[in-house]
Amino acid sequence: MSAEKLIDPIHQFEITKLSNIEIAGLDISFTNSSLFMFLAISATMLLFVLGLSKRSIIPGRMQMLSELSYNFIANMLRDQVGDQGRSFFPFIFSLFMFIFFCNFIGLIPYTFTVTSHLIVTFAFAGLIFIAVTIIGFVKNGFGYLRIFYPSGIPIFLAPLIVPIEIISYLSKPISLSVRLCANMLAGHSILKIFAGFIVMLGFLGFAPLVFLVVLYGLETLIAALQAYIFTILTCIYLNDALHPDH
Amino acid sequence: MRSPKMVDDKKIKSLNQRIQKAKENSNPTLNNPPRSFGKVMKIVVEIVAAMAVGLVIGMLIDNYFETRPIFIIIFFLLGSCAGILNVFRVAKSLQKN
Repeated sequence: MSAEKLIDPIHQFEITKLSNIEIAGLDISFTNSSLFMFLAISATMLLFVLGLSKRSIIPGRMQMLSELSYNFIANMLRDQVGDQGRSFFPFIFSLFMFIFFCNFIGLIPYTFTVTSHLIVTFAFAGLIFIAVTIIGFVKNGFGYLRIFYPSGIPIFLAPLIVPIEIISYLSKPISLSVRLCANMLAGHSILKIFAGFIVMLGFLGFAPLVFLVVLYGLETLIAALQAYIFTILTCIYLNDALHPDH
Repeated sequence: MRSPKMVDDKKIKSLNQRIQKAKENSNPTLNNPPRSFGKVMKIVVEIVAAMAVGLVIGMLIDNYFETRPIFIIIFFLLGSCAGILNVFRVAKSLQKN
């Protein structure tokens, strides 16, 4: 392999078709992205099926892990949204586990990181945005529009405040999706570049190798952190929709 | 459904005590690094996203009325304000935890 071929940090994000499926002119081929989404879901299922099959009072490692993740999300939802958020727990929990496993599976060499594609994260964020808007209107009626005009603001400031609030509202799904995608993309590119340095430098390669180990630790932290941030922001948006007065 | 294995109360009690002890001994700042670290990680995107939204809205209006670049400028400035507002809000809501 030539040196140029070794350092191609973008190559890992390429989508390849694993099987060609075309229905009514729509290309719905099974790609490597679909495969790793499927793997992330399987990993979540496996964790819970294996972890909760014993149901012992003193939990084993797997049971502990599944119970901890359940408690973690349940507490987060209760702190952020309150009791009203209970009915959204299945969605929030699946969202967290899916992103968490996508991020972590992506850290294994030769795998594909689903969340490094903006369209995937934007599909999530856009769906959450639309859902939250609908929930807001259903729960509050047209009173939900008050979020664009906070109380206690003089009327002559309204032409300035209302557009700012609308832009701020519309920017939510963009910041939500770009944050997750950019973190994954940047992290994996840097890992690849430094891995390339090791090969290029030969014997001196131990210096970037040490750095790579540290970087991998950081990336592991970021993978968990970004899943956490994505979920907690979803909770915050949900809270805004359910209680627009706060 | 399998019934849970019966374990005597003494064992559970001692386990609870040990968990309590371990919790007291552990460092609280080490337990939740995401909260302090996360605040820093997420704030820049907030400004950029709001600016981008403002810019796109301005461009759409300008293309429609052919008044380029008046609305781009206005909405870019409004977008910047919205970005700063977003940062302020996110920081405040995260501090609540």
